[in-house]
Amino acid sequence: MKCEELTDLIHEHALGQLEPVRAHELQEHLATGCAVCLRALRESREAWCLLAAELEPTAPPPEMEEKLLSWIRTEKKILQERSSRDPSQLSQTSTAAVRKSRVIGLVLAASLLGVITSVATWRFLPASDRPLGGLGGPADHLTWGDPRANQSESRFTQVALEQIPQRAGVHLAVIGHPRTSEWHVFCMGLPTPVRDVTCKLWMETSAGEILSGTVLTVDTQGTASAVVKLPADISQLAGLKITVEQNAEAEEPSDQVLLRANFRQQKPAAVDVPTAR
Amino acid sequence: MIMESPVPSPESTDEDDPSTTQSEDEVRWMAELAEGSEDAFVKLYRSLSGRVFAVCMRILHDRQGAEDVCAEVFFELWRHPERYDASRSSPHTYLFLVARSRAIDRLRHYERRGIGDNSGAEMLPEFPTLDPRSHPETIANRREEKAIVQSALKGLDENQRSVLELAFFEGLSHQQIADRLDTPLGTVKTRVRQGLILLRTRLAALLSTK
Repeated sequence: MKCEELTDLIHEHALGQLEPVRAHELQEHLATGCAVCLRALRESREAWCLLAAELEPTAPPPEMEEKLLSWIRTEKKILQERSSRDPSQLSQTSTAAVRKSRVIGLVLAASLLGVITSVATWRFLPASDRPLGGLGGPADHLTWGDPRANQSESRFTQVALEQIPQRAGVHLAVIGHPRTSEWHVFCMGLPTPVRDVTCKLWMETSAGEILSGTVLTVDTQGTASAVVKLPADISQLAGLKITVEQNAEAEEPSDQVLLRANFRQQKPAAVDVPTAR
Repeated sequence: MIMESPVPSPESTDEDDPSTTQSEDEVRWMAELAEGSEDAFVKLYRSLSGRVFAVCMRILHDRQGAEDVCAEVFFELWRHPERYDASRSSPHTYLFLVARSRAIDRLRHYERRGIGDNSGAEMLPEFPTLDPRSHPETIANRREEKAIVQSALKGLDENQRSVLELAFFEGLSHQQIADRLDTPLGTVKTRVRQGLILLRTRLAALLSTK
């Protein structure tokens, strides 16, 4: 595709409004480092934002600054306490902390069980039913259960996430493998199923754009497990969030957020997605 | 990110260096914020919150919703300053785009829930429009920058401005704008393209003569 043919796409992409397939094509082109299109994208963003710059500034209420500083200082205090905690103090951990660590342990156990189940399921499937049609399938796109990803090596990794539950008791574990283009997600503490209400998991880029939504089928215990397909360029990912949706087909997340999770590293290095398609 | 730094008092007079442009200040503050400076965060907040809040209000027409989104955007800025990439945009453009994206998410939620448009009812600012703590010369510079932007926008014809505003403030795709205005898709694309080119060139020309 020639750069001049991308102009309209760049203008839509600058606002995060390009449909996923076209966005993927454009991102692949930008990933080549095309200076012309990268400059055009930057210029497009700046031009769009002139519409915002024209607005008369409206100061938010004075309490907002105080509220933000209060959040920041509370968070700092918690982090300082955590980082300065002496190992000898661990025996004095509160009951609540013990309970929390048990919950996290359960999530990890559930994660491991899910991984084992995935592998076992693959092994017992007839070759024709396997995701890639057996060992002779195409070599470029790996999915869970693919023997080349998990039979001869044990490189399953829990993706490092900083979890910010917006509702008490919601926890998330994400398992990746360097050679798969999918993550296996495990959640607990979700609201139990109610008619016409769905939980969805969304991937979010560092620019605040939402890439995709995956429906989480929640059981009566409030747990859910799902396989999430990764975008081509995961370096743009900043985090995940789980929301409650009135409509399972929703293309944008609602503001009923149950949990936010940010990657602890700028790039989720735990997973190295194959680039060949 | 754990670093105690003094927060300027509301009376402090050295928050902005009037000899630098706003963008230069923002870039420096972003760099300091990445090092965990609470002082830099406060400066960025005081410099940009008025315009970020205005973007949220313009999209949502709802003061409470705009306050929630604005606070969320700045708290995320504090937690994740590394998400800002200086090669992709200026700091204020980055914040405007994140605020716009979050506000449109909330707008979609309102639409799904059938929550009505409060257009007009909440648009008049109840609070000062420029932070009185800023240096007088800085306030003058910013007014001048705003006049330049307004002059650039005056170059747009009504059709161009209409499609740009529908895309930016209502989050409509080119196809959705075409449907809304009952206009061919190609015409919408042309208006967007020409409008953005015009804005860019007029702005560059105005800045060069400043």
